[in-house]
Amino acid sequence: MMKFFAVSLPIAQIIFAAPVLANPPVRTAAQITQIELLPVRSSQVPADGRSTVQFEGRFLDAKGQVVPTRALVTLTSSAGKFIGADQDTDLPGFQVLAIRGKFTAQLQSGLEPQKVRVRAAIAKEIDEPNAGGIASEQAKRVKPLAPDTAAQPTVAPTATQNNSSPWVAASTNFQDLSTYTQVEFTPNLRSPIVSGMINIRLGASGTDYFGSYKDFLNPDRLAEGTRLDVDAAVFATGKVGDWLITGALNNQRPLNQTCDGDSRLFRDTQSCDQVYPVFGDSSTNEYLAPSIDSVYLKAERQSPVKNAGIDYAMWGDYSSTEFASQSQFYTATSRQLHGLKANYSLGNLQATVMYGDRLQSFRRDAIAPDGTSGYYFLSQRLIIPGSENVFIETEEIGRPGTVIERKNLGRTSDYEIDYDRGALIFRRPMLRTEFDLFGRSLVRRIVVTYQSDSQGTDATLYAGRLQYHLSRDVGKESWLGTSYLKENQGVRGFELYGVDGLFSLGQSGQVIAEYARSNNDSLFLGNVTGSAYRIEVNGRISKSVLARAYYRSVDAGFANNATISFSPGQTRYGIDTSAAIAKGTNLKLQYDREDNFGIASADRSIFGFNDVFNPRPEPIPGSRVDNSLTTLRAGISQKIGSAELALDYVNRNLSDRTATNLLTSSSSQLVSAFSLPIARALTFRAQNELNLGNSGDALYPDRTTLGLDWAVMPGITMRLAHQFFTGGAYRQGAITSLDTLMDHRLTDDTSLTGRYSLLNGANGISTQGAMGLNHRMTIAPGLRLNLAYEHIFGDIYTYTGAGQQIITPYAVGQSGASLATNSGDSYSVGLDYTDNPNFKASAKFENRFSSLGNNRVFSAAMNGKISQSLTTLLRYQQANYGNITGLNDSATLKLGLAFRNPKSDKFNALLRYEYRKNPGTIPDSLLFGTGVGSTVNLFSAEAIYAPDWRWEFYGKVGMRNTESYLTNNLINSNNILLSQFRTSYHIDRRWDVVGAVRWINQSVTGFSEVGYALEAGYYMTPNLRLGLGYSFGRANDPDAGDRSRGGLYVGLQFKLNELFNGFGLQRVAPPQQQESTIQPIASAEAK
Amino acid sequence: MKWLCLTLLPSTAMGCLVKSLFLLVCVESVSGQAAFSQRVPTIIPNTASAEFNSPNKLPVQVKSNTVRMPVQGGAAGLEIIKIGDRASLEPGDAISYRLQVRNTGTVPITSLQVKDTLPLGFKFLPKSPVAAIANVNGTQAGPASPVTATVSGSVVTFGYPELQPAQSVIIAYAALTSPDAVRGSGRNSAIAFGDSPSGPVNSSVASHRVVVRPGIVSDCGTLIGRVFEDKNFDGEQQPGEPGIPNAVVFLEDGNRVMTDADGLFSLPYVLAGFHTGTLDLTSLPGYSLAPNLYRIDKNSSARSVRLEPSGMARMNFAVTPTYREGVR
Repeated sequence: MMKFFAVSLPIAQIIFAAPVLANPPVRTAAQITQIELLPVRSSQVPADGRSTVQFEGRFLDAKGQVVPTRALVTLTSSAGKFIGADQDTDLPGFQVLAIRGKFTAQLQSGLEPQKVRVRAAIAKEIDEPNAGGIASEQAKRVKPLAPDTAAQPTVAPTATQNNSSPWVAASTNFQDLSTYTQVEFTPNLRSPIVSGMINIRLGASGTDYFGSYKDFLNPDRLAEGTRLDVDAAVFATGKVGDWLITGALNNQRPLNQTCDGDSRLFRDTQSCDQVYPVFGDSSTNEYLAPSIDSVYLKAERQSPVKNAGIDYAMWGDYSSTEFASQSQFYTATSRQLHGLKANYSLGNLQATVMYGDRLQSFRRDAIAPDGTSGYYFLSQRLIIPGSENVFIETEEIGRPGTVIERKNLGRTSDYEIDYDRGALIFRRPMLRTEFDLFGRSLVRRIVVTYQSDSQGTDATLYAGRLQYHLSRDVGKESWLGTSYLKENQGVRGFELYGVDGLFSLGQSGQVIAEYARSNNDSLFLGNVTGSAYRIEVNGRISKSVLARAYYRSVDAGFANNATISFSPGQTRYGIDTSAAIAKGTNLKLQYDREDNFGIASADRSIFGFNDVFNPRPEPIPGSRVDNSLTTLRAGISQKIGSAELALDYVNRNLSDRTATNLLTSSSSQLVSAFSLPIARALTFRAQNELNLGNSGDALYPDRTTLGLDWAVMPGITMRLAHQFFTGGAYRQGAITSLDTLMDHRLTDDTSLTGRYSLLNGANGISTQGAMGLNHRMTIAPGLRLNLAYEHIFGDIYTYTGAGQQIITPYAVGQSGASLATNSGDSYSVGLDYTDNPNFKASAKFENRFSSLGNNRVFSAAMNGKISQSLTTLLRYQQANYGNITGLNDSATLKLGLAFRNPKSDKFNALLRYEYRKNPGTIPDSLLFGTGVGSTVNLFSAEAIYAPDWRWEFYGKVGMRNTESYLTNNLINSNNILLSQFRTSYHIDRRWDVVGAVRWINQSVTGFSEVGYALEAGYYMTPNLRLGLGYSFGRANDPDAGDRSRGGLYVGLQFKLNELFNGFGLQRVAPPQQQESTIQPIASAEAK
Repeated sequence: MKWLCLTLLPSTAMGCLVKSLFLLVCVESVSGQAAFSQRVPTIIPNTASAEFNSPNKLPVQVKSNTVRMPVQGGAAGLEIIKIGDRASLEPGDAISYRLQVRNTGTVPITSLQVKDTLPLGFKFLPKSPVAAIANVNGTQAGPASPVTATVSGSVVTFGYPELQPAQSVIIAYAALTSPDAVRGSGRNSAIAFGDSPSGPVNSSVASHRVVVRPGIVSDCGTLIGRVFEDKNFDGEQQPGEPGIPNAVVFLEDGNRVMTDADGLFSLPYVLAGFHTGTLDLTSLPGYSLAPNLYRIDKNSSARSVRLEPSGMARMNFAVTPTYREGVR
């Protein structure tokens, strides 16, 4: 059976019992007190995507002896991937089998040098010594252990994780059967390699058939005469001494230039942008030199200082991870930037500088989710691609600035974004509320920071940070830091600086202190300065007493949009302690004081129509608030058999010093909570909050919550909860929710992508994106279900300490506290199937109905290999909008087919069909009334046929049909047809000829265009080619007139596979002697 | 940006607002839905706002009317606001524009004409235009009715008989894009003019820019390729010549591609023009470049391919096992 213990909470709220393993179901496992996980030989491997770290793990008892049991161990890592066979693909993470209390694993490095956190935890005990092998059989025989709830890792989160909120729960670590270890991927000091091209073309301007379509027959180009183009592009990487140098240069265009002619930060693309849904292979593609300008350069090395990470200097695209360390909250900066960045460790001192250029208008939007996965419109259109950071923050209901948790979401794996429309859609439904384990009512917010197109006003940013490390030992890190940041946003300036420190008190506690000051030009308030500070102490006073004290204060004028949400104009301090006074009995005492003195956000809607469609980057200031809330809580919890009972007395004092005096009240509540395991994996929970006396509480009504927790499988809990409110600011209301929760430590699941890729057919991460798959609970091997339901009776918009909440599509800047939660119902059902290596499928249906209208989201996808050579993907997605009503649904259907024979290269073909409905709808479309929209049908197919080494034939046909509607009238239907062909013939070892032709035609407008080129080429050396050709183009446009041009051109192409002094030239080993068993195809005619 | 006035007397307040109008335009343009040409800053429509601390220290905000045009003198005035129903489009798509023309003067304006100049590749759709009288807040007041338009090249002119003071007319119409649109600016500009008792009157220029995405005429093509063991040294893969998994190819722009278990790879979004790929021989220990008996250019660790816009090309690497001295 299971035991329970109480967990103390930092913030005045309800304490709830949490089940934790104590008497595990199987004999020997009871003795395990610790898991040991250690890298064998070296904990450092080069980040080459190839090297592996070996791990050995053991189960130990209290005396440090190995417990010779048999169990399934779940491994997760923050980077790299585990190789070998996953013993149970239905569980999240990578599973290895521990035999006689020992296990081994191998982690393959990724390409980015970094510190990597690896976690091991017992997933399942295996009853029978001979179990193992088939996962489904195991599943029947094993007993899941209760999820371990103490959530603090023993090492600091890696830099890629964002700085944790200051409101996280105190750590308990009573019986946490998991362990963490750290390894390092170091810069890959490889032998140099070079890839490059120099291309020179002299010919008539505007006639380059193989150049950009935009330049071909461009009226501006045709105005020029003869044109000389010298294009150089080169990439090189390799070691120089202890340093790894990586660089790329393109003299004609930004390295990150996309098909649209834009330049996308980090260059990565999403599956929804892909022209062809499938390409018939599972190759992986990474961009080693991302830069939105023409240069990328990075020099890096492993720091000789132990545990100091890497020293580097770079120019290109980067994330500001060093500026969001664990000790930074108010001074933290999480941005995606481009420019210069350098980091260097000298002994205990670490210095980081960064310079960002080409910055556009920086925005922060908070959106209240509606229970569906989307679409959610941001406040701006034309988002700078790649600049966004998307977070889900959970905040205590009615307590502004109380962010409990913040999750950083990943593009493709968690969401898709349409940059032009500024619309986000998530992979899973975003419920409005959340009930955490301890019964606090939390609301979710989508927080997105990004840059939007400011039409040419580039801004710059400078920042520096110094960090003095008092200790770099893993798990005992202590440091003192100071940082400075200055951003010039056109005419608006922003300056932020401060000091911060983190001091570890042994393994069990820490002190975090921070002071920050900002100075910015506000749109509404002129030049504003403000300070923020905090000190937090968290530790174990004795073996049985945990304590936490905190003091935080933010001036109303303090600003920082690149960090966690806070409520400007708030001071908060308090202390909470929890003590185990006897076996099964816990006492707790909490004191919390909150003072609000900021400026509430004004209701934007009173500023008219235009402001909703084009909001300013800052909240419009409303009236000043001035109130305080004091909370005193004392409680006791007692375990009775397997059940647990908790009783708390809460006293709250609210005083409102503004003229309106909406908040002043004083109340006492009795909170009783009860939990009882009613079956092996099922726990019943109940909680009642009763106001004593008649006064009632403006913010805290009488509430009763009933819940059922079902531990579906290790790490995944399904929760059904219902809450009634009476009295207080919420008057009457009820919330019902059904949600699937996942242990957040398992979200470092690097084994996910592998599971979703077809056996040599479709690319892992992009297929996962296209398929919309996401891990949830398993109902059969390979079949997973995701269920969610939420009912909110009565809009939750109340007058909080930070002012009146309002229903608005988006709250800009640091005004997330002003977002109200809409009433309504939402539910979702999702299923995915991944058990067959050649077939994967998923489907999802979501519906939200509320006073603001309905939003129905439907998506389905399937991906399979029809034969060894033929791969297909079919996807449909339809959704309305989560935060804007009155628009028509957007929908897409995509079908892709790829023919790639893995045994022969004679014939390759790609095909796609796509249907789009209202692909361009934006909030402004509302101004056109109903009935504005369009439907698009797209088809294209292309193939290459290469019968032998001499001939290659290429052909493509593309078609686009568009129907456009205005006020429900079909105003146009047109077709565009594109066809192009290319043939090349290799005459002999050195000579070749190429011919190519393209024809484009549009119905309705009468536009047509023809282009062709004919060229002969001669290879002087294997890398140098000379060409002479003729190219011609003509465009017929009945409105703008016809234009044409043709002309001779000469070209020179030089392939680069080495730089000066042979840097990058690969030594080619002598090949084997010829021993072919296959007759060369063209032997007869070649000789 | 903000125009700071330390203290304002009631009589000077307007002066400050008028001054700040121009400066605020620069700020507001950051998010300008009704985009405009920065080359004509004197006639930009926009919103102004002023904010000050009242004696009780509370910030107070004052906003101007939505849009102001340069004062024409006298009592006649016209303003024009233009928005589009989408932020971006592809050739073949139509875009709907909404022009709101308001008589800001105190006298009626007759023979109102609105002239819109469309960019390259945009064609006016004659069936589309409708007009309606609007409320003060910009919403449609009456039923929409067809409006006459005359087209001359890329210039479209709409006529409206009369606009009373403070009255607005909304004209909605659409333009279709051809593949030529990707070569243009995507920006069109509209101007309204008419007659008033005090003489001819015209509005500022309202322009709107839509981002034209290439769609079917994309510059991006696809590169497909494979790394395989070439047994007959012809550079082509035939049955019996297996693919090499996990081989790494570097492109000239820093793309690193690793082949799948069959030795295949693909690269979407490859821009038109020449591209080079270099095979990383350290990624396939035990293999070396295979000699090519028929083509000189394939006797190199680098391959070059040429792509036309939205085309497809092959990039193949032939390798062969190495035998250390004495092993064979």
